[in-house]
Amino acid sequence: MLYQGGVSRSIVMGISVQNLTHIYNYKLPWEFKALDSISFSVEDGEGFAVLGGAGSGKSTLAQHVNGLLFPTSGKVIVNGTTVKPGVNLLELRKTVGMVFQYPEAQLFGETVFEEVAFGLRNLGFSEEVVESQVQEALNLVGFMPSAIRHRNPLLLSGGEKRKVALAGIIAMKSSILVLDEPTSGLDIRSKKEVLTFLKEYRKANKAIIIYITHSLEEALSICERGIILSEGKQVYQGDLPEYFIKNEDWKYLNIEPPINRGIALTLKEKGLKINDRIITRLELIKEIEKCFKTIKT
Amino acid sequence: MFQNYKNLSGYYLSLNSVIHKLNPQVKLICMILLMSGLLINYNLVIILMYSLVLLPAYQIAKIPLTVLYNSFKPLIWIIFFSSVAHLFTTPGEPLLSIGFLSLTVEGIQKSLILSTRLILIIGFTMLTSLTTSPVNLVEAISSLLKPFSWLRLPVNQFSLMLSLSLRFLPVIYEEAERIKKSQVARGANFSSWSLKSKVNNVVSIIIPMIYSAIIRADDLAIAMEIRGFKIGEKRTRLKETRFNFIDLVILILTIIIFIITFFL
Amino acid sequence: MLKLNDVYFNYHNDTPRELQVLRGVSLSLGEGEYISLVGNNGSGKSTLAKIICGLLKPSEGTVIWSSEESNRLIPGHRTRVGLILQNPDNQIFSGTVEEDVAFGLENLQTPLVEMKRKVEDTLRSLHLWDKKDHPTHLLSGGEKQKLAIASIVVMEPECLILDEATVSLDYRSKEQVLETIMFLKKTKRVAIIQITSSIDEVISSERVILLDKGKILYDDQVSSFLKDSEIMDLIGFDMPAYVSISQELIGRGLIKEVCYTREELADRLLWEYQYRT
Repeated sequence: MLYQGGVSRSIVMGISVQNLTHIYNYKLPWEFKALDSISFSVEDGEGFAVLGGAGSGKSTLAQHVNGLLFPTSGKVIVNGTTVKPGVNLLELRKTVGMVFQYPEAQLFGETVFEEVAFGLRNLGFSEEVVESQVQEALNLVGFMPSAIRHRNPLLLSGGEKRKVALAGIIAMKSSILVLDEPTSGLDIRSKKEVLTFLKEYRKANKAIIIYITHSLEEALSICERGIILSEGKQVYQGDLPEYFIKNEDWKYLNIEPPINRGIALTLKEKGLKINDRIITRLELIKEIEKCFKTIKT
Repeated sequence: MFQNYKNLSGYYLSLNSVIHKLNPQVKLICMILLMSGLLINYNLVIILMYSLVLLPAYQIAKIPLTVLYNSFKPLIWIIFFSSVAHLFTTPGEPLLSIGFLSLTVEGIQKSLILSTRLILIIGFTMLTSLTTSPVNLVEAISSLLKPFSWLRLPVNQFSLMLSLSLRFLPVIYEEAERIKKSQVARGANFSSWSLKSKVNNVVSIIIPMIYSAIIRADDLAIAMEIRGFKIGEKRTRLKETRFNFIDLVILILTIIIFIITFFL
Repeated sequence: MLKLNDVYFNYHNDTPRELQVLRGVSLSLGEGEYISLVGNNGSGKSTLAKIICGLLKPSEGTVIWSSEESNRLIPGHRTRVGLILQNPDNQIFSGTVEEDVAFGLENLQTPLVEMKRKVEDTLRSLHLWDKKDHPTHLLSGGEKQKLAIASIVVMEPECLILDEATVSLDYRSKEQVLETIMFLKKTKRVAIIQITSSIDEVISSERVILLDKGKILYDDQVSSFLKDSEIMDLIGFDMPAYVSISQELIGRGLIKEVCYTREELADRLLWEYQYRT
């Protein structure tokens, strides 16, 4: 339905969210507005971060992209098709891979192979394709396919389970990948591995990555642009470093603050004349050096 | 999402009203009395009397009647068909005859009374669960069951089980929802008609649920043991439910209504 | 306060599936000490925690508390050691905050007056008093974990063990829990053992114990742990941001000592700056 050869110019690849509002238990006494007129668009091959703390509505937003939730009002358009009840959802789920928080909770297969193949089989791929894509996915997340394919996924360690769960989504080779805090609860080593293979996946498949997180550092390691949410409202949209350099109201959002700018701000507060508009460590050190140079002359 | 919790835990609406503050045991007894009253005897006057209890009670509890309406919406067809049946099958003075069916005055009366009675029964049950937190409800049930412990029935264990299940219902529900969604995101189709895929898809939810239930049970056992819990052991209680003057008034009024029911 | 002497632990003892988890662990813990217990998956951290709590009995070796009795519960409606698990949902049994805090005391058959006083004191000191009638399932993740801590603290433990207790929490909640721990350590002299894989949490503690394949591989002050890049590598820890920034600044001759927190770094830089002018 989507790939009709780019004949029609009106079909735009990518995601467009327009005035999206989502209300849980709509029109009941306990209704709750989780998203309030959110608008943004993501172009093909882009890495896009959804940044926000607990209760900001970021997970609700994610579920709209592959039709697990539908807007109370507003529109979500994926590759030119509006997501609404009744559209070909299986087709949509081929296009959009979705990883929930703590994806290892979904594991149930008897073997790692069965587990990773589950999605592919549901989407109706032939066994040959299943075999090769499972191999490829296991490889990408850093396993030796032959060594792990017959093991029981429930008996693996925490980090390994996460990687198997991620492989299950990656194997579907979707052109859009939505990830809800994929590294939460992992130790530093596994965290780095996950971020590395996600970057590789994005490059190899020219995929859109929507990365949901409360950590700026993580967002920056994989995305260029993003949206910042707080209590269901859109606080900012656009270039992420720019927001954190120009503003200081991120202090009130429940997200991990930018470390380096934090140091610069503390220094400034204490009376050091330093340019605090920096985001990377190198910039910080250069600014401190600059600051010290001024006294020597 | 936590909005579902309220939905699930027996539709409890946390408001501040006299009825919310009543002793839960009294509330439970009153509900049982009023419901039995309605089941024992019925006629127009009784129905009217009970309606005059129910409607103001909802007012006092600050609960909009739409909530009540929503809760018996799924039953509306049952109510409709049973009234229609009563309309035409009750013997009496015929007003209108269609073939062998005849509409009678008694029929109209009876169908009106019976459908109102059903609504009233639902109304009283709903009122209790809307105004009593699940925890208090469980405590009330357990305390009413207490006499059975003389018969060496494990009432304490039963109450603990009941209150733990209630406590974990929302958590487990949310988990099931999340697992289902993540399998749907992997293309699982729960509305598929093929038996094979149906079985496979159900398995994809049940196994993760069992797995997490085992882990949860393990955690629970540890956490309870750490906090000194031993089954069957004596415990002191922080909150003994109080019995106030208003509770007495309500209880007496309800008993009076219940007794009057027999004489109407 | 607590001494572990050569503790061994096997799961499925004396069966073909026997699995040796702890192989001769000895350590001692003082009042009000704040320890980070680190190690890779399967190193036996959680098992060690359960042994200290008395949930598991060592296969060999002894666990000795300073006072003679080895019971977990001690007179005066107290417990010796509390354990906080990762998932707060699995540690809350009651419908409201106040009732959940009282749960432990109820089990210890604390008299009502004493129970009320203890519950109120605990809730007030942890800033949960205004939430005392709040339904527990409507609390945020951080508040739930704080409640789980309060429910243990009310039993006045000598030692509190946190098993990856902040892993599933968001940024602000993590800070909340950390503040709570520091408060307990300072005001109540509670010894803290945190099992963690976050270097930022390690920094806030005083002593690091590294467990590897059931044995203690390292046991020293945090400051020397941070200098030991070999050990840090072994468990895949990154140098914490402030440490590596200050190291870089030392390399450029701007400051002279390693700093561990933002405040420390800022103060040192400021001091250097003023010194030079």
